[in-house]
Amino acid sequence: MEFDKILFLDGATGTVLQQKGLKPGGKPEHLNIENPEMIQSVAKAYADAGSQIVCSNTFGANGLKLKDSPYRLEEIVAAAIENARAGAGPDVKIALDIGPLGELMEPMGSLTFEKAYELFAKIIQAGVKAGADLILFETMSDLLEVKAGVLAAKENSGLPVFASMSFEANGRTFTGCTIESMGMTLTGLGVDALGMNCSVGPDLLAPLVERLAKVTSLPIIAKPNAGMPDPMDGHYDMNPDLFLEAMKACVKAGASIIGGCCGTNPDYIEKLTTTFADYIPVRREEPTVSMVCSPLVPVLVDHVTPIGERINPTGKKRMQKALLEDDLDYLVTLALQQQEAGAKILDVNVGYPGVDEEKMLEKVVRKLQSICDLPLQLDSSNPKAIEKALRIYNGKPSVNSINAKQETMDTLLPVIKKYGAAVVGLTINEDGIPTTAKKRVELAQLMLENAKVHGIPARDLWIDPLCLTVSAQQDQAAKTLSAIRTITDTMGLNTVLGISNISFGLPWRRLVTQTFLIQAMSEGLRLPIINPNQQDIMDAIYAYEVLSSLDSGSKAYIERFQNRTEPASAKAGQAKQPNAQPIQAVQPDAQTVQAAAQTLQAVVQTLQATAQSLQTTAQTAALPGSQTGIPAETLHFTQTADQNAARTAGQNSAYPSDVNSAEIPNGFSHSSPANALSSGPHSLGTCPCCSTPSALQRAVIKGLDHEASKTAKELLENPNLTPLMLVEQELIPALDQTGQQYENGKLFLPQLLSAANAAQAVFEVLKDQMAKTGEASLSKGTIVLATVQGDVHDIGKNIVKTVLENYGFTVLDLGKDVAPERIVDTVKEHNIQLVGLSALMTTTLPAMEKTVRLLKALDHPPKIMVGGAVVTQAYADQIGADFYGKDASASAAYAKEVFS
Amino acid sequence: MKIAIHEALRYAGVPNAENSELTFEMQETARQMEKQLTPKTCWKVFDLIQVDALGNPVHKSLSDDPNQTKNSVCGFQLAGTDIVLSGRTARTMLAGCEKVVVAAGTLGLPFEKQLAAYSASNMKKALLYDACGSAAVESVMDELEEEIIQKAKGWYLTDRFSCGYGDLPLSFQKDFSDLLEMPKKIGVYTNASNMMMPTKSVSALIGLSKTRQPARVRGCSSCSFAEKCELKKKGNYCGI
Repeated sequence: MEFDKILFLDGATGTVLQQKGLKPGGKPEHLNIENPEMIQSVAKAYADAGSQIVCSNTFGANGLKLKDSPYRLEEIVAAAIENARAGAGPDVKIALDIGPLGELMEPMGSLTFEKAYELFAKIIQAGVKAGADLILFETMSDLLEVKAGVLAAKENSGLPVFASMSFEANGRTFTGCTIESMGMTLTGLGVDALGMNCSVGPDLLAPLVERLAKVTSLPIIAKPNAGMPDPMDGHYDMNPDLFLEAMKACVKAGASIIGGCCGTNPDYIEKLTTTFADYIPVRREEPTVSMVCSPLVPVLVDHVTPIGERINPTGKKRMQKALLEDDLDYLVTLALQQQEAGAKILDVNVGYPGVDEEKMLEKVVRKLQSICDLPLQLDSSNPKAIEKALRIYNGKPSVNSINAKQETMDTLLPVIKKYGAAVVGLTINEDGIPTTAKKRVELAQLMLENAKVHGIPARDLWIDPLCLTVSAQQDQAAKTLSAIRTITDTMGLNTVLGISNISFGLPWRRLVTQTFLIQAMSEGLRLPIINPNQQDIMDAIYAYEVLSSLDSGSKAYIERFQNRTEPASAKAGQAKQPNAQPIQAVQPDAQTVQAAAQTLQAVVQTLQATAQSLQTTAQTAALPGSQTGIPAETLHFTQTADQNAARTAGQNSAYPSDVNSAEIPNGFSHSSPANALSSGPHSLGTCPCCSTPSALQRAVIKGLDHEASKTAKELLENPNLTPLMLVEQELIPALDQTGQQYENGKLFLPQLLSAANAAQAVFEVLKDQMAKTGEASLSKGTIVLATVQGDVHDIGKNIVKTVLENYGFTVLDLGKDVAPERIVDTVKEHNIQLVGLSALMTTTLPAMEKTVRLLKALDHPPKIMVGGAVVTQAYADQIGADFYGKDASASAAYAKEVFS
Repeated sequence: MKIAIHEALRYAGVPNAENSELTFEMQETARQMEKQLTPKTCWKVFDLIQVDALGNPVHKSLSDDPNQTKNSVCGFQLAGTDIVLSGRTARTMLAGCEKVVVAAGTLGLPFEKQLAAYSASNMKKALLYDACGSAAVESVMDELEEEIIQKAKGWYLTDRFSCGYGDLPLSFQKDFSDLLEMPKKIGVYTNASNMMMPTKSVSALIGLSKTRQPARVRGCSSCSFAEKCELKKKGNYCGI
């Protein structure tokens, strides 16, 4: 296909068909068979107006939308192509038009990538058979759906592929996908042209075309609506002349394949074809900046771009255990922590003996992408694992890594090219890591040549000149730095470097690591692989960006540091903050805890004091039509507040009266870490002489997660204290107490969850500890939780999950919209004794009933507890559930009973 | 959108927390949400045709056909479609209306993504965010109603009502989705159990009449949720 002139598409089909009598909500695809003349006349009108490409009337022709159709998909596609051809004549190319499948993809919906691929493949096979000239995806909103479509097109046809998505004026699709993410992902996948259609008029489209032009050199499609519709009469507000005027800006911004969408007709197209017939579009240069993305977050490597290294089991017992136990929630936590700490890309390595890496990497990528928005770097030495993960990755990832061995390059580079990823090239070959900078640069050169052979642009090859431990090979640090400089300056490639290794075996490692990072950035390193949770490492990047003019106006630096105060511990010369939160102000050390505790107390006091004595209730949920779902837990509290008396700040009556009792300042010394270490009488649990909760309990009750995990760590330094003791004597009593207060209306649900969160932080500490010592699990039993089939709300179920985990139960969370069969299979496979089911809407109660029925028919039926906004005790009894959980605490109490 | 903090707190299980830390946190949540999300709305107007039980048009004026009584009006057909709104709720809410607005609004999928992230890291934040979203989408619909009032000059609007209110079946959700092309226009999908995704989405009907509209019968008696409503059990009222 030639792109040296403007190429003219057609205008709206649906709009014209509706004018010709198609009912709103009717199926235009059926007209291909029922009224071929009508379809042909539309194609003819567009061809007469000068369209060079006319779309077949197949926008909604897919297996999902046509599932109740009297006609087969193949029949409809064949008739549609034939009608377009007959109407438009032999000189016009016919595009097989493919719209969204009409269901949401996982994880928001239930349509899987594989199923989407299959559905697209069927349309494409039919289109090829019917003689389509090209394939046009349009009005897409989910990047992963487009990816499934493009792969299906490329693997089932040799036809040119055009892909167009629908963007709002803010440059995002409904799913949040950005213009840039679309541009880099689809360019990487090898489409022939890409762009945008529908949604807005050409006036709002021009700035979007301009943005797209910055990330791709491919021809850009612009097929906007005729302005905005008036909801009163359905008419669009741009006439052909206004449309043409606004389209000029789109063409100027770089669009070279143009047409119209909703509200346009042949008159609009004729304006375009007569005006732009001889226009020569500007050829755009290939962008040179490296880029990767998730759908929501495009990352351009025009700054120092830190890659988080934490998702890697090497040397990390807790992570190893998580992988072996399929505990992906832990990996999600690592991802979110690194995102919060400022990582821009996350390296993901799940290779460990006993783990099926091919399955696991793909699974982890799906899981992480369902929650975390950062682009991922797929890190594996297993090419099959990489390929599987590349296929389902949503966006453009990077791959870690290839090396200069010919065999590795020959295996991986074609895959990298096919999926359009960026790739890290290690300067190592059969002979190992060269000891000179020159030789490493040569290997980089070799990898670049090979990449080019496969059609991979230079910007997508990132060179890792490798960092060796300085305590073992001291002269090598300078060699690495020198290689970075040469690769950056003479080859113009970006470099990647795992920094943390450098300091291995030395005391005060972080200083060496930080210094080396600064040296490497000065030589041109743009993609350091680091632990972003180490505050001083991230600090160094912010400072470097200021000093090298990459942080314009020092904006990012000021934002990070303006509220930073010098840590008191540093002043005292004992900086010890292993996991300090990078953005926040410092946490108080032992000397300042007391003052801080008083402040906190005052805060809590204010909070409590203002809770009025009243009997109010939370709206339970969702009027069905409005669907603004409120979890079942948000029910009723009777607040008999006596807290007004507690107003006088600095006095002892701080927290709800039954927690309180002279806990601060006197109570504090009872349970200070120093005392805990000496295993004194007040170190654990509630003090027997004055029933003062311990420091850990107070931290949990007040929901201070950092404080709680810090205290737990300190307590565990005592060798006589086991994690189990900590759970039994500290956590459970604290949780019981908050549960009681919630029950009595003295705490609200958000506060209860705050405490739960702090308890979870403590559990994390315990799990770390137990992974290190290899102790058996603390689990009190395994419970399956699920929101029933058809139900898409899961906050209530998630609240129950949190509370159950707090009490030491292992929860297999099957998520929302879960088929009864899947619940039954899980119960059988894991020999489950307790199942919790949640439903929010009346329409999904039958699914709950069915699930209960199937579970009760098992040879060893589990106990079943049910809950959710629409569930009542009476209903629970009626469907044969064993327990109705009115809220999370009640569910936890029942679980304790079942496993006692 | 202007999120009603009190409403949001109530949804989060905090009945009244003025000046408290939770109010502050909810305000923060609301600020973040207003910055982060771009709600989407769409609406269309349809002429209403009064039909009898067999779906045949009933003449508006009784004198046109002496054999017809008012009782024979069984429902309202949306002109140009096969959709007939029947039942007590539709008859009450749309009595005297010549047109009906079918409207929908949503906070969008990015809300769900953020909620999933909070659910994985901090349930308290998840709860506040979810509750804030419920209040937010209500405000989106209120603003949409304002927009409709502005555009529908010369028309009086009935109260807003939705599928699931009274005896208006939830199954219309799918029809409204098709009528408005919700997946294409605002990115809202309706599943087999008639639930919308994104979860913070609302569809609604508003009748248009040439004469001033009285407040219709509302409250628990017209709500299909009444039987199971936790508020009602305690003798309270959600206010809708």
